[in-house]
Amino acid sequence: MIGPTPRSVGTPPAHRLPRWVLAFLGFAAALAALVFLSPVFGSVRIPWHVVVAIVLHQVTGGAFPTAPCGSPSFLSLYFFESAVTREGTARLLSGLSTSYGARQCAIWTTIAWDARMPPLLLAVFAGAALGISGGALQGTFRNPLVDPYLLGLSTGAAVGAAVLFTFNLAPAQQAAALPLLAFCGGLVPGLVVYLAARGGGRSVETLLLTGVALNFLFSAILDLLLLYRPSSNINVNFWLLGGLGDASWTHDAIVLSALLLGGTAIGLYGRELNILQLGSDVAESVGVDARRVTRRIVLVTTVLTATAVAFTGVIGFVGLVSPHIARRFVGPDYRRVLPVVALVGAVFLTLSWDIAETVISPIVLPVGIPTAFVGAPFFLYLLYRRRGRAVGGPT
Amino acid sequence: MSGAASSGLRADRATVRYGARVAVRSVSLEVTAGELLALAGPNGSGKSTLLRAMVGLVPLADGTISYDGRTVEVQPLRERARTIGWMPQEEEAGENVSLEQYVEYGRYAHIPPFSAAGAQDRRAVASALAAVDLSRFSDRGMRELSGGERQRARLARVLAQESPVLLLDEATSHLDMGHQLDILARVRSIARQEGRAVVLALHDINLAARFADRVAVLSRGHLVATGPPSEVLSSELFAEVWGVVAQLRRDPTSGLPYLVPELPRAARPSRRPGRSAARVHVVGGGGSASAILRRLSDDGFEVSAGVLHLFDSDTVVADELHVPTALEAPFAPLGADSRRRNGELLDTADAIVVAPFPVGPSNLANLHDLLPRVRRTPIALVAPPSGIPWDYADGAGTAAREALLLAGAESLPGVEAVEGWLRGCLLATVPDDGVPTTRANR
Amino acid sequence: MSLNPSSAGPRNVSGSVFLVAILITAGVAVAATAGYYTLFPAAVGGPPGPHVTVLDDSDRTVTAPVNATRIVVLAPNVMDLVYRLNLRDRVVGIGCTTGIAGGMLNEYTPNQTTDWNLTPAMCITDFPTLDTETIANLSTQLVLASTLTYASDVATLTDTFHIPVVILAPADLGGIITDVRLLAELFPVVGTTALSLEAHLGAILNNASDLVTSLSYNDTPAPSVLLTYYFYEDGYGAYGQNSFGESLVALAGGNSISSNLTFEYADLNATVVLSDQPNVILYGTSWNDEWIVDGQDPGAWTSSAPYWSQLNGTKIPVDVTLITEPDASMIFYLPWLEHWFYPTIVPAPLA
Repeated sequence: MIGPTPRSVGTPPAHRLPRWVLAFLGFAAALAALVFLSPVFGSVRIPWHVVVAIVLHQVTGGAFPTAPCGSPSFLSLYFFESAVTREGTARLLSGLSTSYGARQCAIWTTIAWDARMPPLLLAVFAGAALGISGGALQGTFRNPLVDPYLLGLSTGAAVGAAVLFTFNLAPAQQAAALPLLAFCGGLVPGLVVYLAARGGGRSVETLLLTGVALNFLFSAILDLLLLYRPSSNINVNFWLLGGLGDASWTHDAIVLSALLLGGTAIGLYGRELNILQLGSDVAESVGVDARRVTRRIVLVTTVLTATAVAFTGVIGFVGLVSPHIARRFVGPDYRRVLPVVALVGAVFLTLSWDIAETVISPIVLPVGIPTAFVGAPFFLYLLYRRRGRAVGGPT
Repeated sequence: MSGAASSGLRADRATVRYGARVAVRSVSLEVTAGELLALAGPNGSGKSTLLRAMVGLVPLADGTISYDGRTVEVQPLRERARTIGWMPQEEEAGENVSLEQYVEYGRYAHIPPFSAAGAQDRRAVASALAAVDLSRFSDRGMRELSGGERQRARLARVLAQESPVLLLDEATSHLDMGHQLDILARVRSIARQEGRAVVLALHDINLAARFADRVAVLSRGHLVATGPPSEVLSSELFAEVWGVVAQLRRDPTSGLPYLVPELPRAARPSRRPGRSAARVHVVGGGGSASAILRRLSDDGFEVSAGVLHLFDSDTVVADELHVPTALEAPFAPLGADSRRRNGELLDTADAIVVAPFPVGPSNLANLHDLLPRVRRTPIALVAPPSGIPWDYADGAGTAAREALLLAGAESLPGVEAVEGWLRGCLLATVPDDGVPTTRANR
Repeated sequence: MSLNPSSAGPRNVSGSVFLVAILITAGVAVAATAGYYTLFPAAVGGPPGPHVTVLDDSDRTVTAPVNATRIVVLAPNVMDLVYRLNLRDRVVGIGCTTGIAGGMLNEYTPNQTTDWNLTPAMCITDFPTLDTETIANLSTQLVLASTLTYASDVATLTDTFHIPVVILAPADLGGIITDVRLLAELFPVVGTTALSLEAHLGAILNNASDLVTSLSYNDTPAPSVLLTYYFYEDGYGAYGQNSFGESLVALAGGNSISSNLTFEYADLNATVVLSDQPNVILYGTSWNDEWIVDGQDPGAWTSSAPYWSQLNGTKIPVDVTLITEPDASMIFYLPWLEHWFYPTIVPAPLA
């Protein structure tokens, strides 16, 4: 993998931040900007400065601006008035009626914050979860083509969803039951691989192939279920394509918790992942318990990804492409790659969600479509751009 | 069990199986601190497997491997890594990290779990890099190093582990000669100065003999010999284990033994029944004829040489090739006996080749004795390389040479032309199967 | 350099340290979430004014403002009732399939758009996703939906935007009268209109059932009927058990040949139709062949419906909305069905 020219440990050039710190800050800034600006996108047009004011107001707990809507305050009124004037809406009365303005602003606040923010945050957290899982798995399996669904997770979760739709379980609480079943379904193949890894003496190639076999098996089970009740086909397929529109604050909190737990656990293995790249024999001779690290990473990524997938459906490419992007900016050291890849995944999925909401507005695309449309060409670009550059020196 | 002398790595009837195949059969040996033990043997003899068993990567089917009395297998990985360092023959390429970062991987077992590398770790890395002479490349990416540099980098990583035991599997196979000797010398000095026990697996038994304190020879999983090099090395052992016939020599400067394999007999063209090979007599001395002797011998000619002085380097080669030689005492002028013997050889030769030997008063007769035969037998004189003086006989050598050439001898520009000339002048007698024949068969 | 293999080295990462780190992170995450919800509790409360609580067709208890002035209607059959109850002026938005060519006309026939005075500006996308944001942006006070609306969209409207949603989904013709009553509860201002509509519809249904009773009492044979709204290559779209289509046929005194099918909207194999040879075939015609609108153009039926020429029963084209949208218009059409089923006994209704 081409990365920046390695610098020796602990001696960055004076007066300049190390490259990985710049990348981290850059992506963090991009993410923050996206979080503030993405609520602009949707079927109802809200001016971007109104959006920013609303988000700021909510995020600071009402401290700033003090009241975008309702009682007057210089800043809020400034934001609102200029927005309203520029919109030139016919529904506006010529003399600005505070109560009408307040009502409109209240509606805009509800749309921008209560309706658009939960899916957006889900994109951020799920994207980070997929990114860091993909990065960790690529390192563990020493294979750049690995994504978080490697071990059968996507098909397992699809089976879980299909079970719900086919047998019409819990029709009254479907909204709550679907993520639960998808989560359980996604865990099953991962747990099988984890138990296989505990058996000892399994190389990473064997685990990889186990995952592939499980993928096929669960795919067949899925097909059987769909055959049994073809009418559930459309529901399952729609879920499979991935969607963030049903997100709620509760979903966000759950995925965030999983991200913090799982991400921390994975991040602690940065040094071990570096050493694993030399092969499990060498790693063990140097003191790294390669099998235990592999097992733990498989377990944590399975749980983390299953949580994300339970609420978002199967979104491809984020887990595959984000690690490559992160490595291009940060180099091959996993201690630095893992924090950055979480940010990259978050940015990628958030951008895709914005595209999904905007491109054929007011219809919202399933978010798996823009990630593939953006991710695939970008991935090809990365691959073929690499070929043209030779690594200096003999090999 | 205590005291520095008895601490060390010990294999006790270690047996390793891969399925039904036994890779290492009941091997018992011991390496003490400060000692360099070379593990020699042909491919597939079990050297790598034994080293892997010593570091705990493959399980033992029988026997134990222990360090300082404690079995290696039960030690936790981090403790084992601080005790035993293993350098594999090959490893996966890995990412393009900096060399310094790579060597720091060897410090993993010394760095506490949630800490960064400390000053002691950095010092270990720096001295490991210095030991393999790669300090100036510490910023380079691993993928930018050559094969030899990467091998040294691997060794540095293992050295950085600062383990009392070092297991090196073919640590020098990709290196050029200079680096090989250098690295092995450094490894030996590290072993002695730092009191480490080093096991070095090599396929080159001569290198093993040169640097190791003791040599252990493995053949098909069995330990067939252990001991100091001078005791272990022998032609019989070499033939038995490697299946190659070799001569045991002793290095004059160090007194250490080394083995020189003979060329496999099959390289020589086989004799046709009913025919004998052509006879060529080579005149030389001072090392000028060595190459010619070897070549003609390889090509299947029956070679003789003379008159050569004892202890001349050409004599050594002739002796080695079992070439009939007319000999004279060192530095003595050619006497009647040696000249008569030489004459016999000359008269029975189908062709005579004169190497560009330095001519002095003592061997001038070599040229004079050729004159009577110049009409009967094809003679070729290889021209001496220009610019190098060869006539130490006040011009008598040059005169003799001129005389021979005038009388019909050929002049050849160099050693390479000899074979061509020989085949040419024997052409009329060379049948289609290409084996030169004697005059008797024409 | 000294080697000290026996000096105190770093401890192993024990599993317990790992676990403790995870638990601490978990605690922090949970505390943060709890803190958030404490500091920013979900806003509660709807628009001011009097409210009424009703039970809708999906057994949901809904509290809505009385006589709401801004309502959104998501299905044509609901629109029919809304119009007949003089509530059209309160409608600020209608559900349309805007993404597909044809726009509003994918869901409303040209007659419906003129009769009800609908304009494309009123359209709110409802397929494949419902544009809840626009509904909110219109300051909607009440949404009248059908069973075609996704539960998740209903949840978004009620939980995120606090806009009450009433689902009107009559399962049979009697359910249409129930819906009239439901709308009367929500809009007391149309009380009298609702009552008279209710009476009128009730009278038709009562007459129909009386007719059926007397016909069977006289042992008049009931005709076998195929009620179909769509054809495809080897079959016909028909109504199965417990559907309003089945109840329509039954109330008019017919025997639907598809009533044994399990699903409400069922596919009937053309060969079955051919062998059953129903006496009366009512087929739904529409102004276009777009897939989203039921029915096909009359010419298409006669030329392409499977085995059409070999079906010997009386074939009667019907405006497809009258047999696919359960509303008052469907009940008003009932006398015509009675006439077609028993042409000799029941005269054609007056225009």
